[in-house]
Amino acid sequence: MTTVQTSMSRRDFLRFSAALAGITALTACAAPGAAPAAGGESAAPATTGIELVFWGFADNRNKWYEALTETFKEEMPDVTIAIESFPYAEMHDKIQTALVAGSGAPDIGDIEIGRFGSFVRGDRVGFVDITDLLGADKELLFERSALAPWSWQGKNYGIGNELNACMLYYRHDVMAEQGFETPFATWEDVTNAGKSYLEQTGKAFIAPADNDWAYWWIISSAGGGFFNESGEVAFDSELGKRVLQMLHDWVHVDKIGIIAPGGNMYNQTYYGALAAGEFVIQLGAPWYQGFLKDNVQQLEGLWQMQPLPLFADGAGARTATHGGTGSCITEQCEHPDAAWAFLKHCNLTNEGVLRGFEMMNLFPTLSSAWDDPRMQFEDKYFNGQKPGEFIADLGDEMPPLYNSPYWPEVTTAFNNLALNPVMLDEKDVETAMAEAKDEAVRAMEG
Amino acid sequence: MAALSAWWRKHDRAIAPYLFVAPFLVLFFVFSIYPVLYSLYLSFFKATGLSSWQFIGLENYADLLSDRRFIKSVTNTSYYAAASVFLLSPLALLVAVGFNAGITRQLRGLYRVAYFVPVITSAVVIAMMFRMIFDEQYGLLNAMLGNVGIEPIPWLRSKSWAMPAIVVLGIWTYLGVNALYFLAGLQNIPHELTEAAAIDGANGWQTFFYITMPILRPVIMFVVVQAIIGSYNLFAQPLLLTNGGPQDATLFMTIYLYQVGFQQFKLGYASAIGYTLVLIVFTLSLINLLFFGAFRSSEE
Repeated sequence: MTTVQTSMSRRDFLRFSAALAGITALTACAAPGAAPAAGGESAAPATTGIELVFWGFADNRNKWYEALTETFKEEMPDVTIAIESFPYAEMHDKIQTALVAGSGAPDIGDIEIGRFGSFVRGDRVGFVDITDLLGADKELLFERSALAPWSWQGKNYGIGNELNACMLYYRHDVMAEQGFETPFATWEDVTNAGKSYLEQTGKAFIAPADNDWAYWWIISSAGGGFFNESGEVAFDSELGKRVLQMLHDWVHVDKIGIIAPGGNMYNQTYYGALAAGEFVIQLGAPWYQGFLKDNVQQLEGLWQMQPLPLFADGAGARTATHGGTGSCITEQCEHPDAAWAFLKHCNLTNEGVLRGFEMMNLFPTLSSAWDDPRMQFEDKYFNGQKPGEFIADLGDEMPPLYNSPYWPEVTTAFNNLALNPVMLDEKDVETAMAEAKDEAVRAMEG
Repeated sequence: MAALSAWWRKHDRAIAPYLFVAPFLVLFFVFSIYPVLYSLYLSFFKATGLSSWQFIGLENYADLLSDRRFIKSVTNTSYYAAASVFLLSPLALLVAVGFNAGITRQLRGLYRVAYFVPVITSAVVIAMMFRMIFDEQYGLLNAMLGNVGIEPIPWLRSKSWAMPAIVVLGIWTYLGVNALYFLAGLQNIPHELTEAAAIDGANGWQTFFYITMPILRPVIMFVVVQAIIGSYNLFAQPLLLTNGGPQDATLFMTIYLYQVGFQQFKLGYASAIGYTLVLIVFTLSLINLLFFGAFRSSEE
């Protein structure tokens, strides 16, 4: 047996190591370029078909997409969809960065309603205009929830599947015990019931937040919300001021309201207080129904829903939209037709949207699905009421939503200079609104 | 080929070290130096959303001077930095002196762990924890204060309390690691010096001020510079705890930079904020180094 003795001189070692280091350096250089393009085909095992990458931030939505990729395969076997999940802010930030950089964006991205505005600030939007792809299907959609929030200058850039008709939720057991007539017809009725409740129990009735504009927005959007049709600042409308005054009075004058425990409905403290019965009324979109079920299961059967009350003189609206997420095809997508086919499968087929309704409780924007028996289920959590019935009834009354590239600046100005000073420091509503408007207009000009 | 081989044999010792460090340097240039320089370049442009850029010279910097939210963010960040330097650092020194003096000899290990755990805990976890601690109605802190008859404080909802709340979080997080730096410095002080001072009749305070402090000067300088840099870079904790609110009371420069860059998508303006931050940190660090005599030669 012969043994081959291999020895390495120091010089050989040095040469070998240097070569290795050099190769590593070159590989490091090449890595970013050689990495699979997020919009591209190289991430998957060898395939002759098309692979699309879809970025989402909401787990429930991602599960819905995952489920639909299976049925989509039957429709387009050559197309594979990879659903990738990111945290909310990170996902939007990454898409923005990738669109600026010119590479690295996914084929499709889920864009939350409040983040769409920033994408329309420049010369181009960064998403594929789907107006023509939609074609006649547009008529099947509830436009104000499905398309308007992801539209700009008459063009549609995304499609959403949630008809977010806000409602008022109340503890029917408490209302019955107190002998209050429900559903409440006017906001004045709510206030009066609250006063009586406070007198009887010493407890608060409702919990608006001091720095989360949700309540203000839900009640006042009939007056234009943050912007009017022309994109101008509109939160200081008469209705807007009236609503802010009412929120202020609930907390500081009538004392029927407490500032939302934990700040808002995204905080566990809030649900702790809700479970403890520290307040018994809540406003929210249909997705809030899921929040209630997840966070205060013990209150099953004790809640009921109703349309929003109006003011005694008829001002306001019986519903409003709040929140939502739309799917947008990015400009870096090399197969926009395939991407649209998937979005169509999710949002424009009865099976797709009903799957979403079953999985997430989200009422679809596709009108052809509304008559399906599955939409008319009785919800045990809401004392056997049918959420679908309410939403279908209220949809047509939803005030329009006017999005704007300046959404972040204007909502920040409203929060900092109007809502928070009024709710926390009891600042005069007129003055606070005027100051907030000045700041918002200044920010839009800047 | 032979010529190349000969050339390599001649120069390998000179070239090899550079190749060894090349992987780090390449990555460092690509992912750190290049973006930093590119950001400086970007700060001279109006680069909003997905638009072609427009060169505007120093206009972004000029706009910052009249931007109320930016000025507020500078004031807030400086408030926190001042608390880090004048409150956190002396406290850390006190803790280190306590350890060094053996006051806690029995529980030294426990205390060291307790003080060091926050340093290795994720900023997200810390922020979440403090959100619960600072809660007005159900928070641990208000429950404790309630026991001694103090009314609940709206820590995170009040303009006046939100910043002190973040300072408390900062102290909890960074006290341990700063105490560790001081402790290392204290343990390097030769025992003979303090002994000699004691023989000469110096009391504890005199030993501390005339022996310990001067010898600790480089450590103090390091801790203060670290505190300044860390304070101006603080981001995750205030973002998660208050998101800059209420009414911008805790709007740190980093949060404003993030809001402008990503929510408002004004990349040129955000870069200008970034470079202003650099300028502030650089100037303050320089002043600190001069103050502690970092540039003085040892003979002086």
